[in-house]
Amino acid sequence: MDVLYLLVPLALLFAGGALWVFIVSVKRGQFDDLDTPAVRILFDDVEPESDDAGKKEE
Amino acid sequence: MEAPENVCPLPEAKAPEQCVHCGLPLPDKPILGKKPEEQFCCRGCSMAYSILQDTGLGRGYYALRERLGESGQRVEEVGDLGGYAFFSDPSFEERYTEPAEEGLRQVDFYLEGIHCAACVWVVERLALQIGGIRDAQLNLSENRLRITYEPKSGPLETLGRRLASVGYAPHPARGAREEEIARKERHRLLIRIGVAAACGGNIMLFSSALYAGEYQGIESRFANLFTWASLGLSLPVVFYSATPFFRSAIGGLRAGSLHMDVPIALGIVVAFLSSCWNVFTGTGHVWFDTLSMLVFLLLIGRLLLETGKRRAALAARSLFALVPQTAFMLQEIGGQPRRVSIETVAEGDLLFVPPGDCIPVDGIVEDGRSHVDESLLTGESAPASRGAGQEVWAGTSVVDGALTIRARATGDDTRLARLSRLVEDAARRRAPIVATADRIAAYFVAVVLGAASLTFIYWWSAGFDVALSNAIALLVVSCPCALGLATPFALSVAMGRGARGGILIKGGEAIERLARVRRLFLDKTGTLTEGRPRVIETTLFDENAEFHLPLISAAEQRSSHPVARAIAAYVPPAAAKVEDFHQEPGRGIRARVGAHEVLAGNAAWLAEHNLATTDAQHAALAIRETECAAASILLAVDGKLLGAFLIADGIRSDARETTAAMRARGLELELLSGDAEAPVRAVAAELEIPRWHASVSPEQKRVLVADASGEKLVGMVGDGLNDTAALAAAGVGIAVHGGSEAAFEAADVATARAGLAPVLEAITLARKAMGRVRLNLGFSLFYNLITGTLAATGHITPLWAAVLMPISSLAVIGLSFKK
Repeated sequence: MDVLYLLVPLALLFAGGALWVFIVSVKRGQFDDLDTPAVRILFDDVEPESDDAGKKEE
Repeated sequence: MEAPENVCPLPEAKAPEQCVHCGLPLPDKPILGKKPEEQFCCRGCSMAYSILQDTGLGRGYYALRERLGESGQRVEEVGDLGGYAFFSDPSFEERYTEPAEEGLRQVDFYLEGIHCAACVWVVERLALQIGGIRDAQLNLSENRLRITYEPKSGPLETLGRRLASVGYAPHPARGAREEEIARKERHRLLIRIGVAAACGGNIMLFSSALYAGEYQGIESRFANLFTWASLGLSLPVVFYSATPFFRSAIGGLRAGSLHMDVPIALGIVVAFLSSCWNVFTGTGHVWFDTLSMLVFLLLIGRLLLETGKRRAALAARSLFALVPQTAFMLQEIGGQPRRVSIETVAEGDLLFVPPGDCIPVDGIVEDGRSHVDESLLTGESAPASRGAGQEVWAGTSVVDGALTIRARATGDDTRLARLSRLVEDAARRRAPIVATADRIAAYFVAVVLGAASLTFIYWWSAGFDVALSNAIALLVVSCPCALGLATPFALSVAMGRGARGGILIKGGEAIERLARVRRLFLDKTGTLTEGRPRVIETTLFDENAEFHLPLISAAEQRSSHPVARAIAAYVPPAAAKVEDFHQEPGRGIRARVGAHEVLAGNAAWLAEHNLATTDAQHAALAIRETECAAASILLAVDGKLLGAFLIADGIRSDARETTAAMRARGLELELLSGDAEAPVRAVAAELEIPRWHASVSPEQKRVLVADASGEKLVGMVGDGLNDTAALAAAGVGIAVHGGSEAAFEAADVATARAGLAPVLEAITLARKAMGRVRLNLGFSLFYNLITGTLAATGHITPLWAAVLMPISSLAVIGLSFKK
């Protein structure tokens, strides 16, 4: 069971890594809006119909 | 070759019965598009449709909307798109936009008309099509669009015009900085939760091993490993995640009040210190698992509270943004108007206000003549005529003529602002209920601390460790978290439910007071009535007169006066050409429609054209005017008097039902209005409201409401600024949809749907919520008593305590969600 001396620090490292990723994503604002992204998956990328639609305007 | 006669004719292609854009039924004369199947209910929808087609988004939008099963929404025709030029102004950029990365700038807009996922799709794509816009993100629940753009290319004006034309009028979001601060706060809370969760979870794993070890035996070196690891992991929890509780407890103690964070903080500190001591001395229990789970669960509770509050605040702020931010400044009368930000206007400046716009300052009219809608300040539904030398007020709107105004009072000095300050003062005085809750909490905390100390002393004889264990178990298990959660949670669930039904409640205390309301003051205009004049009756002096009515309606189409709009809506206009249109403010209109001379207006106007009613006709009209609290508009065609329209502010269709239902629920109703006596008396009689007051000024309303707030709790329902001070003075202020920003700010509750029915819904919701709160409180007290007794008598270890305590919280949460 001496392997525990390796496993415990390793597990804590993983936990620390996960925590760090969580903190970064909170700071980037990924937890700010939890409702709209659920709705976005319903969108398709529809091609614009006419040729000159989608052209950038001045 | 001729078709044989016995062949059945092909069925006619059936024209669509619904507006292609919004899906609502078509009027008798729908607006037509280029193709035969393109039919619209109004110009707004037609415009929106063509923009969608031109930008290539039409097919995708309608397909998506159908796939989601969402309905469409009618698009209001936008009168003036020129206002969006303000978005290109440098002062706009300074005030509303923030720098983003790479030299870009970022700005938030609140959008009207967002109601489904398809809206998100089309808005974002419309925005991204405009050159210079790098990113567009719409937040569906907040109706907020975040745009990242290149400052030099000035795309915001185009964006504004395009979004408005499709029915999503954008308004720049004010209070962006407070929003940022709140956002950062929330991030910090989330991170604290994350830390507590990561550390607490791992500590729990270690302590499971340790607990197993107590039964099966464990090598001491591994027990040490796990124990030290637990200690290490609890450091971030105690010194980072739990700091809000320590700060709150210390703050409370310094202010001399014991509140609920004190036993929590105490429990955490005692558990941590004694556990550390036990680690160093190598004996006894450690409670790192207990305290980290405690911190985690309490922080989650806080997050739920904050989210609920934030939602209400956001809803409030989005409506604030609907007030115009600009004014037209002139150098001299008749000069070229220049659009400026409303803050740059100073006393003595000359301003130009076109018809339909809101007057931005208090001032004197220098030139021009118009009817001014002052219902905001006086509650009068009929616009008053204002000309040179007369005073006008900020917040009122110009109806039919342009005015040139010299500013007398701006910003904080306007009558509007002074009234708002009365509101603030009244609002500050409404805290007694909060103080009571704090006092109860203080007693509870004192009792718990006393009981914990007693427990410790009682068990001292059995050993320090046992005594401490039981005392901590008691502290933890009787932690008033369920008590602390019971009220806020039930209330925030109620707030959420309300918000989904279009009722915005600004906080838990508002719900509490709403539930206790027994007496309700109602405003008349806009709350019980439509707030818009309507034709309620036609009196004809000549049986052929009916055929001429469409001519009059055609002429009235040219005017934007509310009475004209009422007539135009009542009678379908003739399709003839209208020429020589003339409108005399305070009198009426005159025009040539087709081959006829048309005249409509009051008796004075007709007298100018040598027409008059007979005594009999006059008497008959006068009787109806008094009965219906209405005014007559006399009609004449080709020099002959035809008859009259009776115009009144109609009572809302749901008003009667709702007032009856309110009476059935035990509410006493009273009517308050700034309007004249006749209309107020008529409405009160119609709705069976026993007490009413007419011609009441805003200040008088406040006094009436304040005086009534004696034994019973008083609520005030209103929509205009003339109600604001009263709204604040009342025990509960309810602002009805369609009202002013100031009313919204002053009120505790606001409805996003028109009419009185949402008010009754709000009261019912509040009563149910308070019932739920009492249930929760009863349950958690009972639970605390039982588990507390068990802890004090030594039946529960601190770990069990840490598990049992959140169970009561979860039960409370679960109960709150039950319908």
